[in-house]
Amino acid sequence: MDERIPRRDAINYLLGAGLVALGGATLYPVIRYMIPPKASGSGTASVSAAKVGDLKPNEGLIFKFGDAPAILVLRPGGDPHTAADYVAMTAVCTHLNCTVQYRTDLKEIWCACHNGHFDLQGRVLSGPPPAPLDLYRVAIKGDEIFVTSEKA
Amino acid sequence: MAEKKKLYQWFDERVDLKNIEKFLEHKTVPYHEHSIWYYLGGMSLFLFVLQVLTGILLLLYYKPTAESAYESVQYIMTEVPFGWLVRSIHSYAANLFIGMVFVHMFSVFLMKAYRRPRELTWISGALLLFLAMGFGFSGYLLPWNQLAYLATNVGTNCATMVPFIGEWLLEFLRGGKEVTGATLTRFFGFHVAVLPGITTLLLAIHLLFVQRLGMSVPVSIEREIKQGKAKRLSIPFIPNYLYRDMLGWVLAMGVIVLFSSLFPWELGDKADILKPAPPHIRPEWFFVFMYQTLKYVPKVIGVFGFALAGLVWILLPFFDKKSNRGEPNRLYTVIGVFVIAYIIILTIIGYVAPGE
Amino acid sequence: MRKITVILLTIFTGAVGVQAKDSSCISCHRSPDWFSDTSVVVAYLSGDTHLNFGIGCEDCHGGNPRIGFAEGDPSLAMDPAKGYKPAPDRNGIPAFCARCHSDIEFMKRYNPRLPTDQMALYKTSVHGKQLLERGDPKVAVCTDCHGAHGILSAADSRSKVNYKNVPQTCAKCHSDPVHMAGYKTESGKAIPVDQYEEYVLSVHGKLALEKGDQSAPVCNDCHGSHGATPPNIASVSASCGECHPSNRDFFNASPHAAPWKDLGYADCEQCHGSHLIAPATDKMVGVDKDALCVQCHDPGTGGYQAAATIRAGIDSLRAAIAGAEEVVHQAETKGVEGGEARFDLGAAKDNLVRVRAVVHTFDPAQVTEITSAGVKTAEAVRLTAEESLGDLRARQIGLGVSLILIIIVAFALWRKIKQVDRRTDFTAGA
Repeated sequence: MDERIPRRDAINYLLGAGLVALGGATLYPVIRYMIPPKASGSGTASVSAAKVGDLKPNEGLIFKFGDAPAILVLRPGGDPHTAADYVAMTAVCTHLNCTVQYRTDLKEIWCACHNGHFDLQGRVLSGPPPAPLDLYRVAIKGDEIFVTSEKA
Repeated sequence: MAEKKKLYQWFDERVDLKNIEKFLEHKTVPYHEHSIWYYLGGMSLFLFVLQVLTGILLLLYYKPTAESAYESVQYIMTEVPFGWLVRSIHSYAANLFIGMVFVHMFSVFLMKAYRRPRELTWISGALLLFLAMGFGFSGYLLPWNQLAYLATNVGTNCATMVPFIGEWLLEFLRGGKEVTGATLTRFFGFHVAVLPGITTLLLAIHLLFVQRLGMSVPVSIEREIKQGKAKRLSIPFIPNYLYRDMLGWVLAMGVIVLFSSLFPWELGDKADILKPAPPHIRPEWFFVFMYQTLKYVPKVIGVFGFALAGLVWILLPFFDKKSNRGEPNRLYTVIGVFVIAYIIILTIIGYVAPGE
Repeated sequence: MRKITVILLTIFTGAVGVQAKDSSCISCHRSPDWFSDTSVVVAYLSGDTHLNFGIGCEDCHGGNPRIGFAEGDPSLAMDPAKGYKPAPDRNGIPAFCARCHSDIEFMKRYNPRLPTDQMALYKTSVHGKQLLERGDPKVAVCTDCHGAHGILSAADSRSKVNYKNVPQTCAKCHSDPVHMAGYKTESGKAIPVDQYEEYVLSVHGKLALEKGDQSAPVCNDCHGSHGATPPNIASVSASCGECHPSNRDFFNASPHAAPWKDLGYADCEQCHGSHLIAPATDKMVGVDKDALCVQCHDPGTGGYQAAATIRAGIDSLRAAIAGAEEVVHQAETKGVEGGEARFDLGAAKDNLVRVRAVVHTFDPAQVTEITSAGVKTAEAVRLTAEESLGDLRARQIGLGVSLILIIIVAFALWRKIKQVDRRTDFTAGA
């Protein structure tokens, strides 16, 4: 029983199998490429900063907005479900770029580096910062809090 | 197998498959010492199709505004699975494509394949070359990095050298007086809609003619055959020529994929309109020979010169009477070699010479 | 302050214009028939703040403005019976101005927010004491800084006491060696005349004068204006601490505070200077020969050790950040890094900014706490970025597989071509 595959068929097999494999190796990255990745889209246009309930009234948190930190604060006595009770602004201090934080005792935004104080509108209250903090827009969709830059 | 026959008959009734099959079965391609150059056309086509496919994939994530373009390309490169591969392939194949089209054109020129009856093939081909360069120029800006921004600045500036309509042309290209986000959006429109549309049409015409008229055999070889010094050889299109085509395509794919993986195309720094331009800015490599020439001759003469040269180049088949008669034309060969040498040398100088 | 002034100016200009035109004082004093030098009136009419409030010549100088010009008789206007007194000499100017400006009831009617303690402050100042107790006319009186007849609000950028013009106004006397000759400080040294020169080169000077940044101090921000006194040693850090509170607090809690008091060193000034305050650099700290610490601390002492440790900490943090920055930049331009790393590196940079204030504790423990945390963050970032670059290697391996497939297919095609060529008659076909 001659099991040897004639050369013609061998080459055909090799070519066929090779092409199929190559086709698969091409198709695999293409399919994976087309499925949108988990990380939200490019650009700093809109970021999901937190979920409703992450913040209690008179609390703030730092989140990533683009590649710079931003701060989200729920006003004292605010309702976690009401977008208007949140404020969001850049957390990069306008003095020397330290990251600011929310002071629950002062109910102000404060920069630890040189004692700069900002109100919840981003305006400078005291200290060395020369300019106010840029404000962002807050919207609530479902249970997610979205922050977008004003210009977007 | 009966289903296969039924399917065949269904399509044959509507599309005349039988005739197409007959044509393809009997189609042959000349085979001689220079027939290797024939594959460059198919290679260019392959690279173009590759660009279209990778381009469509990039379109799924790219954002054509000044605020988002760079970030979206960064996103593709870093967050999208195999995004770096798709983008790098697109960038490498783009350059390979333009290079290939140039070589294809010059090989056609040196073989005088533009002669009767293939004048229209040549003209459509020349126009396709300009479209390819347009693709390259418009696509280069899309990642919106500093290098591309500066090159576009320098490149579009040349529009002002066109007499009468120079300023209007500049604003038309830039979407304004300066290169801005408006330019980006406009170039995007050119790159993904206008140019592909025109190219598809011209490509269809070009390919139609190639199919109708077949491959041209160089004059010298035609003579040898006529004089009985050589036999007229040919290979069937299917499968001999096609397998050879495929081999070329697969190897090209290998080269592109190799470079894309070892040297992923860089992002560069985001375009900063306010940064002063460093010295040594040049447009993309396929424009450098023109750019460098313009440094040596008065601008107006240079622009006119190139425009005239371009026109003559397109209408070449109508000037070369000798080739049309089937006679060798040494002069044109020399001209062709000279043009090739000029382009190569000026390009090298453009890169090596100290900038202004 | 500025808003109120503008509103009041607008209201009063209308009402006042009429009056000024009719005043015989004005009419005479600007008439070339009577005076060759009409500059006083020109100044007054060009927007003097008193004019805008409806205060006329007679309100300060007395006399009768309704009569005298038409009659050609000055004595009718300059009438002692109507309160006219000649202009005071230099010694009398402060009291002259204070007549209204220290009168709270009076000033309330015009500008309730304007302070009325200028005279009280002036009396405590060096200028005031020299003038009022020793009768020295060379010191500054009200008109030297504010002018007499073309007085502008300090908010007006043309005013000599406007923020940007204050240094030059003070320098008029204080940079004049002839004028300042003979004056000595409390400790008996001659008062220097290079403060303005130094100030202009300083961080504060450049910010205030070149950038117009009002957060930077000019002379009166540290020295006071009416109560101008050089800050005593006890109060230097209090003065600087108005704007640099963190540094002041750190310093006052530091091991330097008490010994410097004993040594009579002026806190901040000892290291940073007073007028020629240069931008602070990390080089000021440490044990290099141009560092400040070794000017007092000898090798082998605790202070020397502390200085070395502090400087080493800061240097290591800076180096860690720079190192991470480089890798991150590489990863970004190669397109394998999407911004996470840069974001995280920001925290390390925060540490670097903070530690430069904490340096003023001169406590290696506190400094090292911050720098080592920063170094850890920077190192983590660098590692992440390097991993991203490492991903490139993983990709290449994946690519190797694809290349092998391509080579296989290419080989198969080549064999196939050979095979079909063998069966082909090359001479058939056209």
